[in-house]
Amino acid sequence: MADVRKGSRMAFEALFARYREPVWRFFRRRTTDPGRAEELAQDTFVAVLDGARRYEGRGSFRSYLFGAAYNVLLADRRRAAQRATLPLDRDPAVEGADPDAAIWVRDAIATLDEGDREVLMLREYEQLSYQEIADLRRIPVNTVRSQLFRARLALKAALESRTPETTRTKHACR
Amino acid sequence: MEYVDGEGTASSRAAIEAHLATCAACQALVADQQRLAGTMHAWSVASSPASLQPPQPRATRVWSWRPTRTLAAGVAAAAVVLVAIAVQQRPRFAAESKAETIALGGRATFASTPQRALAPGSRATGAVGDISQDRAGAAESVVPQAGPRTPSVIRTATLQIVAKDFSTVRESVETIVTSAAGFLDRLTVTGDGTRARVLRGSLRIPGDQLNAVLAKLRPLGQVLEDTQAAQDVTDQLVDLDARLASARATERRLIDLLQNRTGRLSDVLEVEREVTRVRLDIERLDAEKANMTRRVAYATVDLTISEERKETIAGPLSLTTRLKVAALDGVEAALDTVAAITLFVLRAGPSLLLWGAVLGSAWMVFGRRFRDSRKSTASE
Repeated sequence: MADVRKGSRMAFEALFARYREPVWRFFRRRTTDPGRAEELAQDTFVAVLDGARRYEGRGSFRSYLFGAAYNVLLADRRRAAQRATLPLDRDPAVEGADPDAAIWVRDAIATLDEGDREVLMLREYEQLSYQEIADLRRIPVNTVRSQLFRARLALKAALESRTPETTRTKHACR
Repeated sequence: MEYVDGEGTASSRAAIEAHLATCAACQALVADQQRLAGTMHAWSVASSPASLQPPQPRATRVWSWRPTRTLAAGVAAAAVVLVAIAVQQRPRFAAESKAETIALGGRATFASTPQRALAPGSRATGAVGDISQDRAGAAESVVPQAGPRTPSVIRTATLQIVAKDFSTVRESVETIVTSAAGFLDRLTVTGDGTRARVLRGSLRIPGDQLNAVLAKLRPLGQVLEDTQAAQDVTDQLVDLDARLASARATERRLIDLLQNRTGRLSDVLEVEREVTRVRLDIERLDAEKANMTRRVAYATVDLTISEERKETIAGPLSLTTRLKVAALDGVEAALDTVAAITLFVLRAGPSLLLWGAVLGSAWMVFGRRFRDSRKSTASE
C-alpha cells in the first residue's frame, strides 16, 4: 500500500489481484444483482486508489479494504432502502459442489437479524477479527461477541429446523 | 467461541485447551461450532466476472456513475444559496460620485478661506476660496471598517492652481504630502522654457488629513478650481461583508461534505469544483473589499498647478483683476526697460567710453588749436 501511495500502478494491480475475489464475494453475498455487486466492488477499489494518500497503515490492509467495502455497501443501501432489508434474496447464481446446501445455508442466514447476520458473515466469510468487526461497524467488541454468539445460535436453529429431528445435537458442559 | 474463532490471549487459549482435554461436552460444543462454520462455507458464490478490472488513475478514468442523492442534494442546495445571494446583492456602486461638485470657473481671487469639512453627499458651492457647505454636519469619519456603526466615506478633491513661483512647486507638493503621511500616486511635470509648465498629480492623503493638506496646497498659487466630493460606501461594505460571510459558510459546508460523506467519484469531483468556484468568489470579494477600504482610508486629490503668466485664464476678468494685471505688466515693462538699459550700458559702455575718450581727446586737441587760430585771426 505504501507503493500504491507513491503511485505504483504495479503495486495497486497486485493488491487488486489478491483481493479481487474476496471483495467480489463480499458484495455478491449481500446484493441481489451481480452487475450491482461488480459496480460496488469497482467502487471499493476506486475508493482505495483515491484514498491511498490518506492511508495510514494503522491496521491490516484487509481490515481497511473491507471497511471501505462496508462503507460502499452502506452508501448503496441508503440509496436503495428497499434493497437494504433484503440483501440475500432469490439468487440463482449460487455455486458450489452442492447448490441445494448453498441455498439452504443462504436462506438460513437470511432469517437472522440484520446486525447479527452482518457480524456473522464478516467473521465467517471475510475472516475479520472481533476488533476489526467492531471498528468497521463502530460497535464495542463485547457487542460483537454477543451478536456472534446469538447469530450462531439462531443460525444453528434455522439450519436444524430444516433437518430431521434425529440429526439434531444438544450439548451440555458438566 | 473465541477459542473457535482464534481470538483471545495465549493464556486464555491455554486454559481452554486444558479444560477441553477433560470435558467431552465442551469438545463436542467446539466441534459443533466448527461444523457450523464449515456448513456456512457451503454457500459459495460465482467467481468475479472478467469485466471487473483494476480502476485507472484519476486522470484517465471515465466513469458513468449515478450521483448519490445526498451529495447531489448538498451541491444543489449550495448552488441555490449562492444564486440567491448573487441575485439579492447586486452591485450598487455608482459610476459617478453621489456628491455634486460645481466647477468654480476661473473667478480668480487671491483670497482663500479655510474650508470646513463636508458631510457625505454635500456639495461645494461658491467662488473660489469661498467654499461653504450646503448643510452643517458632523465631520465625517473615514473609517476603513464597514458597518452601520460609523459611515465609510470615499473622499475626493480637485484643486487647480496657477503658481506664482513654479520652480519650488514640485518640492512643496512632495513635502506637504509626505508630512501628512500620504503618498504620490502619480506626478508629472510638462512644459519647458517656451511653454507654460504644468504639474499634474494624483495625491493619496489619509482621510483625516485631507483638509489640512488642501489648506497647505492652496497658498502655492492662485486657486482656479477647488472642489470636494464624498461618497458614502457604508452600504456597499456591509453588502460585501455579508456576501463574504455567506460564501465562506458555503465553502465550509462543501468541505464538510467532502470530508464526511462517502460517494462516487463524480460526486466528489463535482463538490471539489464547487469548492474551487466558491473560493474564487471569496478571493474576488476580498480584493473588492480591500480596494474599497483602501479608497476609504486614503482620499484622492487631483492636483493641477500651472505656471503663472503664461497661463491663459479663460473667461472674463474682473476690473480689479485687469488693473492688477496691467499694473503687473507695467511694472514688468519698467523693469524690462531698466534691465535693457542696464544691459545696453554694460554691453556698449566700454566702447562708448573708449570712443568718448578718443573723441574727447581729439576734441580737446583739435578744438584748442581751432580756438587758438580763431583768436589769432580776430586779433589781427
